[in-house]
This record gives sequence, structure tokens and C-alpha cells, in this order.
Amino acid sequence: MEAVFIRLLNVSLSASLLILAIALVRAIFKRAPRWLYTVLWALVGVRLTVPIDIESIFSLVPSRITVSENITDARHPTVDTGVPVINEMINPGMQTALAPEVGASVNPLQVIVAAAGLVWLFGAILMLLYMLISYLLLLYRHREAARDEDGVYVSDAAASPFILGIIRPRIYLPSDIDAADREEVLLHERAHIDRLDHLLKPLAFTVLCIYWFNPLIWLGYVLLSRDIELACDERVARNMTGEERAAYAKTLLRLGCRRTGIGACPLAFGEVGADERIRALAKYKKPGIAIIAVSVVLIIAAAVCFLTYRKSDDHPISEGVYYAADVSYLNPFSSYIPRAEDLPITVITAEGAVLLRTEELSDLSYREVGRLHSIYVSAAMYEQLFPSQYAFRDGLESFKDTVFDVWSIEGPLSDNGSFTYLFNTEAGLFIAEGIEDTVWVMWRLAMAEPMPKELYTSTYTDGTVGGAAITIDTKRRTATLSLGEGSTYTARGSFIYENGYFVLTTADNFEFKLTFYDTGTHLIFREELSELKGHTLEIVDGQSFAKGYPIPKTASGTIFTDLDADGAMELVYATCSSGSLNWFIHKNGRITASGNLDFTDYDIITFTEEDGALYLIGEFCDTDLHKYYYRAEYGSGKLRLVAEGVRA
Amino acid sequence: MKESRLGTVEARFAAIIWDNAPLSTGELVALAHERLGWQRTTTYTVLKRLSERGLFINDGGTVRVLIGREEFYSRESERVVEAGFGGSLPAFVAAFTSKKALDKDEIDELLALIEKMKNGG
Repeated sequence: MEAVFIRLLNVSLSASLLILAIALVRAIFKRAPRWLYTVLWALVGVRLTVPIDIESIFSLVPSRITVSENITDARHPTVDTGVPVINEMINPGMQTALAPEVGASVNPLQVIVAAAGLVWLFGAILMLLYMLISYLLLLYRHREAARDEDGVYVSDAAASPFILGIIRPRIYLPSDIDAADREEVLLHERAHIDRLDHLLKPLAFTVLCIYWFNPLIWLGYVLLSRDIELACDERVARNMTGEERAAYAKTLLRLGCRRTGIGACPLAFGEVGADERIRALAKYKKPGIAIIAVSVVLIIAAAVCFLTYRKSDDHPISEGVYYAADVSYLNPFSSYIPRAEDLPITVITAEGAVLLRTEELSDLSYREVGRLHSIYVSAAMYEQLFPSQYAFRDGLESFKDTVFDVWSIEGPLSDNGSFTYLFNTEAGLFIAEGIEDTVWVMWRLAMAEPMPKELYTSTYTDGTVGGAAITIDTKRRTATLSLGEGSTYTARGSFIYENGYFVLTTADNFEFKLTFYDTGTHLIFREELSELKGHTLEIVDGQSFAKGYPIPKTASGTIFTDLDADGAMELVYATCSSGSLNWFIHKNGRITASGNLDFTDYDIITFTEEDGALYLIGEFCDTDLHKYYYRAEYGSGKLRLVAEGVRA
Repeated sequence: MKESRLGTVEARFAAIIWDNAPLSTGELVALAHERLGWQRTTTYTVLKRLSERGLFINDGGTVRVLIGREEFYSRESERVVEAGFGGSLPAFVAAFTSKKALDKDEIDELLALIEKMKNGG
């Protein structure tokens, strides 16, 4: 429902511009026939109800999607009004006020949007109810109206003439109206019906019910109501002589002076007072061909300029397999020196999914790290992201100038404060990884090869079970995981292909997400699962999968191993503080001998086997750009630092 | 209920009865439908109301006159226009409204304007 509300918000913003434009024309173009404005207002209605997504170079609408539907997921929420000046004014404030706190379970924007969505729905329902109830009340009030021979209804309860009904509109007159006035009034009401106003006004009000949150839409409705009345008068007066017009005007005056009884009756929506109508009548001249031509041109121009959108993105991102060509930005406070090889092979799919391969793993290890969400990066954000300008090869300014658009790669694992942005620039694609609001490293991507049409082979990407061999039986639709030492876990369920990966949901509601790709080319398989033959993936103890965003190698990791030598496999999460070089074991999980899973959250690291012993080996750079290394031996359930030092 | 004149439509209905009484309720319903476009229920409702005012009586299916036309109209009284909801129309209804009260000067000015219209052609 929030998505609906945001979509309505975006459409109403583009319609608001048209409303302002019409109001402007109304103020300037005095000799225009009033029907011009009712047609223009109808265009606003079309914009608000019909999803038109045509692009044209004449469009004056700066932005099709001002508020992204994914804004509640965004790390740094932004809006894109299409006008750089306004973007710069709004976004820095938004980002500081609304950025979700790292580790917080609820993002403030989620609450705001959800609440706004509810308020909108509530308001729309109230207004629609008002409309329905008013209609029924009117019918009830005039239930004793009598039908005259000409099909007109007269009612004792009517204080003034009106029309009710959409399919068979009925004209209601006050029963005590005199014959002369009756004639003139009927001219007006019949003109309303000819003009289809009895359809237009309720339709417009319905649109107002839906878009009630936008004050400009109310303005449009009020002006529309007024224009309808004046256009109707013009239609009546069009072919009248001066005398006929005078008679009509007299009726206006007479009915305008009626005492309508107890209390002052409020001016209803946009009703035009008798004096204004009479003055307009006095001034009215049938429009010449020139004015009509200008009016038609204005209508076409309004439709083209305001019902279309600017041509989007001439710089699409090509799907394919990318590698890092070089490191183009490095934060000088980074604790390690990344090399181009440190960025895993990155695959960007047509659906905007980003998959990474990590080299610690076997060559069958793609995982989806997230989806591309369009974001807006303000000038202030750039300063924050890239704090040290000299660390930028050619300077920040020249980089900024080349950027077409920026995307955030958002995935399920955004709780450790890190982010990954994809910059689409003249010089190609760049991936920037960072923590909090600072980029630590940015790589320039080069395409290894385009996406192929099909492939085979498998791995799984969900980290609920690590270090296991998987056998997929497509006939029996099972995935069997061998956990070493002869224990296996069989997951049985149905495979569903969804957005670039396959999901296996078991009867007891574990979900395995699998990506299939070719061993040779590492390109993603997207055909139906039934095409696959059974395939086995073998992992030897000591290899590992990584889940989520790459974690600096020196900092932490997890292994799936038998830590305490009790015969059961454990998953161990450990971190190393680069200051004290102390190791902390955080969490672990167990797989019991019968093959049941009893696991907790974890990530994975790599141990290296050397001479029959397991070692954790790492390297990082300190701020003087010295390469610092360490080696810790794992044994008897403990990690023991055995060597450390600085390499030249 | 205060004694008051009949609304115009009510008066048309009363006229049907005055012109045709005594008549069966069935005939009255038929006539009201033909001349006013009324449903049966509306006819019965208004008949009941006028009967309570003492004008007519529904005597076991036959409608009779208690107060005749001339006698009724000779009793003059202030007409009260029903106010309240009838005074303001909902926003989505097309209307011929003109609610602002005009003062004398405005009226004179507009009348002059109308005269000009007449001659201006």
C-alpha cells in the first residue's frame, strides 16, 4: 500500500506542474473561451488517472519518479525532483534527518511512509463516503419531486436549480420558480448536460478524493468548478442577441437575490457569484477563429509538455560479467591495500541484481549481494564519501562531472554499516565500497564478457549451511547437503525461479536460494530448472563461502569446522581487532549427528592448512602504508598468534 | 406542525385529490404516477402527511376531502422555506447556484449593465 501511495505522490507532483501552468495561462489569456480551461483541467484529470509513460523531448516535467518506491530501504534516502538546485536543497537535510541508524531495527522513513499511507487511505475513504452519502441524501431530500412533461423535476425542497445523476441526468428546479426564469435556467442546465458537466464534475471530485493530500489538486478542482459554470454561461450566450442575453442576465440577478432562508448559506465549491457571471456575460464576445486556433494549440502543447516525461537515461548499464581493471580511489586511512584482484568478479544482470564471486571460495561461488536502486548523491554527499581529494586520481571535481547516475546496491545484509555504490560515468562503471558515510575503496570495472543465454552447474547462495556438498535431484526435487562425516541433510521442496535465482522452500520452511552458473564462463543460468541434470558440488573442509558484503580480510571471518573436536561440526565466528590483535569467538552453531540443523547467524572466513595444522593468515596496511601481517594457529579450540610483523 | 401553505408540488398533488375525490387509493397512486412521476410509497407518505394536517382522510381505501380547496386557500400564512441541507449543494453537483447576497448598490450597477447588454447587442 505504501508503494501505491508513493506512486500517487509522484504522479500528483507532475500534475501539479500542469495545474500551475494552467493557472498562469488563465491569468494571462483573458480573451480565451472558457471551454479551453475545462479541457485543460480534463487533461489534468487524465494525467492523474491514466498511467501514461510516454517520453518526449518537449516534456516540461522534470522527474518521473521523484520519490523512489524503495526509499524506505535506502541507506541514504534521497528524492530526485529532476531539478538539481532543488535536489541540493532538500537532500542533504533529508539524509541527515532520515538516514537509518546502523543496527536500528526500524528505519524512520519506513514509519513515516507507512503512517502517511494509512492517513492517505483513511482520508480518501472518508471523502468517497462523503460523496456517496451526499448523493443519497440529495435523492432522499427530493424524493417528492414531481416530474413535468418536459422531463424536468420540480421539488418543494429545492432552493436552487441543479442536476443530479450520471447516466440519466435529471434537472431539478425549485417548485416556485416562475415561468420566465424557468426558461432561462433550463437553457443553462441543458447546456451543462450538453457539455457533459454532469459527468465531468463527479469524475473530477472522485479524482480529488484520491489525491486529496495535494493542495494544488484542490486548487485545480475549485478553478475547474468555476470554469465549468462560466463556460456553460458562454455556451448559452454564444448565439444570443443582446436582448436575449439581457433576459438571461436578469434571471441570474433574480435568482441571485433570493433569500435562501434561515442562516447564511456557505459558498459551495467554486460557485461563481451572480455579479461575476453577469459581468462576464456583458463582456463576452464569440471568439474568432484566431482565438480558437490559439486555444487548440495550447491544449496540444499542454498535453505534450505535461503528460509526457523527459527522455530517460541514455546511459543504460549493460548487463554482463565485470572484473576490476584498477583501483581508482583509495581512502588513505584504509587498513589494507586492495588490489584489483581483490574485487570479486561482479555480475550485473538485466534485472538489476548484482552477484559477486569471491576468490577464497571454490570457483563455484556466486552469491547475490543485492539489487540496484537508483539514488541521488548531492554535492555535500560527494564531499563526505570521498573526503581526501588527493586520493582521487584526477581529483573529485572532474570525477563528479562525468557521473551520469549513481546506484546503491542494497541487499539483505545492510546491518554492518557498510554500503556499495555503483557509479555510472562517462569513463565506465565504478564500484565504491565504504562504511558509514565514507568510501574506503573504489574500483573501475571493465567488462569481461556479456551475459550468455544459458548455462548449467550450481551452487547455493544462502548462508544457512556452509561448507557442504550439495546434490540437486531435479526429478525428485530435492537438495541434499552432505555435511561431512557421513551426515546429510535433505531438503525437499519445490523450486521456484524468481528474479535471477532459484528458491527452494522446504516443508519446514527453510529457504535455500540458489544461483546456477557455468563453471567455465561463470555466467548465470536463467533457464528452467528442469533443464538441469543432477550435479554435485564438493567442498573440502578448509574452503569457505562468504555471505553478504566482502569483509576486509584481516578483520573477521567464520569457519565451518569441528572446533572442539567433539565429532560435530560447528560454525565459528571470530574477529580480530587490529589494535590489540586479540581474537574473539562470537557465536557458533551445531549440526547434530542425525543431520538436523541447529544454527545461528554466521559469516565465514578462511583457514589455511599447512603441515597438518590450521592457520589463520592475514595482512593489512597501517596508515603509514606498511604491510602488516599476522599468523595465528588454531588448535585445541583456541587461536594462538604465532607470528606477526611488518613487511617492507 | 404549523399551518402553512402547501409547497407547489404538494399543491399539485392536493389538486389531484380535490379534482377527483372521492377516489380509491389505487386510482390516486395511478394518477400521481402519471402526472408527477411518483412511486406508490411517495404517494402514501404525502397523503398521510396531508391527512394529518386535516385536509384529507383515507377512509379504508377511499380518499375523501375534509377541507375543500377554497376553504384551504382562504387561510393565508407565512411560507417557510425549508433550510438546512437543502440550502447547500454538495461539491460535485452541477448547479445554477449563486449564493452571495447582493446589496442594493451592486444590484443597481448590474441592472445598468443589463440594460447596456440589451442595447449593445
